[in-house]
Amino acid sequence: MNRYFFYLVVLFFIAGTAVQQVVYLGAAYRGSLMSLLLAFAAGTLLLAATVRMYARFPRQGLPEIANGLLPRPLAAPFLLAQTALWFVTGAVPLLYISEISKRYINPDYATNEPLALFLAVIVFLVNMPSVKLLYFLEIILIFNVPLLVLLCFKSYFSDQLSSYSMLEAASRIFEAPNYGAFSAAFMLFTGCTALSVFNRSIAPDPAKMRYLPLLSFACFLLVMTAYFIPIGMFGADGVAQVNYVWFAVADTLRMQYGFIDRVLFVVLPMNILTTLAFALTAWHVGLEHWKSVWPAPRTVWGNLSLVYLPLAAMSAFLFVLENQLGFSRIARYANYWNLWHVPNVLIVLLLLWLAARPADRAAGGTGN
Amino acid sequence: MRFLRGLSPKTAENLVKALIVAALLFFSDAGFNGYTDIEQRFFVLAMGIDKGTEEEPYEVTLKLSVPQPSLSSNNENEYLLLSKRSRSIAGAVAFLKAKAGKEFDFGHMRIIFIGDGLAGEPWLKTLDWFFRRRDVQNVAYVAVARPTAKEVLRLHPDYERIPANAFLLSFGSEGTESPYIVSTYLFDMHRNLFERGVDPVVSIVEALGRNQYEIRDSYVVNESGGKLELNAVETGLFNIFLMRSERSTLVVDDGLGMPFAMTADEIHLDYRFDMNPNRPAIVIRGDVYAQMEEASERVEPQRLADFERRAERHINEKMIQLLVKLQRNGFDPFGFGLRYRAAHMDQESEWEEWRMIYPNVSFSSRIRVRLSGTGTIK
Repeated sequence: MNRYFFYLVVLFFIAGTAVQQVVYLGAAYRGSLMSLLLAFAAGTLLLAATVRMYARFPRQGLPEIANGLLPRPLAAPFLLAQTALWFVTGAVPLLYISEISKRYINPDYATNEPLALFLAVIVFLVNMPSVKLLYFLEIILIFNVPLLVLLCFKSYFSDQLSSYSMLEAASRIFEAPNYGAFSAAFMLFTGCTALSVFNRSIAPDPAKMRYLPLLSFACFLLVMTAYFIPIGMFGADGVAQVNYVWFAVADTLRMQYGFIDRVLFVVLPMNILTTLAFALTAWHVGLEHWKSVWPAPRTVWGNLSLVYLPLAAMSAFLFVLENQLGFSRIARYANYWNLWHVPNVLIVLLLLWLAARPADRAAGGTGN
Repeated sequence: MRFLRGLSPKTAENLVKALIVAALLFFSDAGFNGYTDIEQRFFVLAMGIDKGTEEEPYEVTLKLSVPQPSLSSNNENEYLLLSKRSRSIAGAVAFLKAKAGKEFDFGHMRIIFIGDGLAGEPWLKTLDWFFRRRDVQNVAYVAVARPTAKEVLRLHPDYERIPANAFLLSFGSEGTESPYIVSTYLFDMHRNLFERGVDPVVSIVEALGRNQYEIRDSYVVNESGGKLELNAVETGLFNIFLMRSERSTLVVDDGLGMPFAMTADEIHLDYRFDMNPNRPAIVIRGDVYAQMEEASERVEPQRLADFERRAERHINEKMIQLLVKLQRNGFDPFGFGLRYRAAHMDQESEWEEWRMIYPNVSFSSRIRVRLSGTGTIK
């Protein structure tokens, strides 16, 4: 079942790029390139470490591990914090695509209209079994990845690409990295942390994962593409002026002999679909954490309210957020969410390590 | 409430889902309205901005296509020209919308004309509306219109079957490939106006009478509103330098013999910096592979070398003249400054350094011309 793990990692990259790109391109003159390189190193380590750690707990998710290791007064807040983080992780890209839909599909949408539609999909699908969700991802990625690769190549071969702008950006490689850009790029590598729930159903085998650095590298190439192509199209100085970078770049490409002249209209549904799948995955993981905090309800209606009350509450919360703040302000606050990825990942890894240790000692003991 | 207890878990879950989704749609005011039907829209095919008066600095002209029942050969190339002066472009468009009675769709607008009078104003200010609108294509062409954008938009070439299509054939690579046309996209303008170290170049479309136009000259502009006109030869050289036009025709008429013309098949050009602190220089070298296209008399194949040398001298001289002209006026459409920035790691000082260096740079051009033949006759 290793291939489903692969999908999780790739999905985070494809869906996260459009959102996070804005952060590190905005910091284009404050060491963002170095931050990206460091995030690649850290992300590859994270990938290897996470797979190895979860391999010690076959068919167990983070909730079971945490409940086993920590006393309940500690485990419950920990899992609730995880729930909150996963919900926010899904919510930010969700708000992003609903903003994009309003901008590019139909400006006359009511404020919450696209969000309501996306939430409807999520409400219908989020509580399905983890394995089915993974099948769903597989199909979405099979449709999207070839198109994405094609468009990346198309943009590389565009004769409008300014290579000296890209070189100018590359010549800033030795600038001191900044944490905001690092954290935004690091988030793209956190697809593996979704194992905290999916480890129950897929249990990837690290022995068969020698290609993991390769996967990480391929994803890194996508990150580099998403860094340099916008700079080549909008200039090293001008790119920070652009709000919806991925879509603006798509709009600089033309397919004269394709059925659709403006590449934007190919990229738009593609990106909305992957981002929706991403939000769905993140909320699914959050929901599983949430369920694990509470004792299993005995009635059907108890079970349903446990699942759907937080979903309804989150939806209502996002509605209010979008109505009251508007996207530009949400995007600014979302940067604070970005800062949490690194500490959170470290805490989870520490917990896994602590939980794995006694098992080691016991294994060592029997060996002697 | 008894019937709720009798539901299977699956049905109960579906019921809850449906209720939540209904609530979502209800509270989001989703009416799925606002989408204007295609018959209730005017498609803007081209747009022009001219300089207005003191109080109303912009005169906006829209070229709208008039819907045709069917595309048959006796169809007229029908269009509607709407024009309005206003303080802002957005204001003018809003007013014209009220006048037209239909919604405007800018999604098919592929060309933007800026009147000659506005070419000397800060371009970022003029183009802001276009950059900001989401439905304006980033791959729309930008050009200067002479005498005014309104005049140029009014043109009605006889061979044109769709309004404003002739311009698209001129600027796009599907139609003509001319060395005198500089195709500048909207996003290109955005990039080169913001980028320090490179200045955008835009073609000038000149209206000739009722139904003809000419694209020969071009402007180099900068973000502060400076402009410098390049004539046809200089525009051609600009395109050669960027290796954009591979079908350039070069006419050599230097008084040293019979004048002749050649057409370039292939152009490879490159330059390097020679940053000697006392005497900074930019050395251009490259090869132009060409064919003889026209000569007034018989050309002996043995004498090809003479023609090559004359062509070389001619092209190198012209190139240096152009570079010096640009340098004197403080323009840099070739992006020397950007390349300098790309090659230097010291981020704070490089741009200031370059601004000190550029006025003192000397140019040398060592372009070689290779004539591969004399054409189908000698």
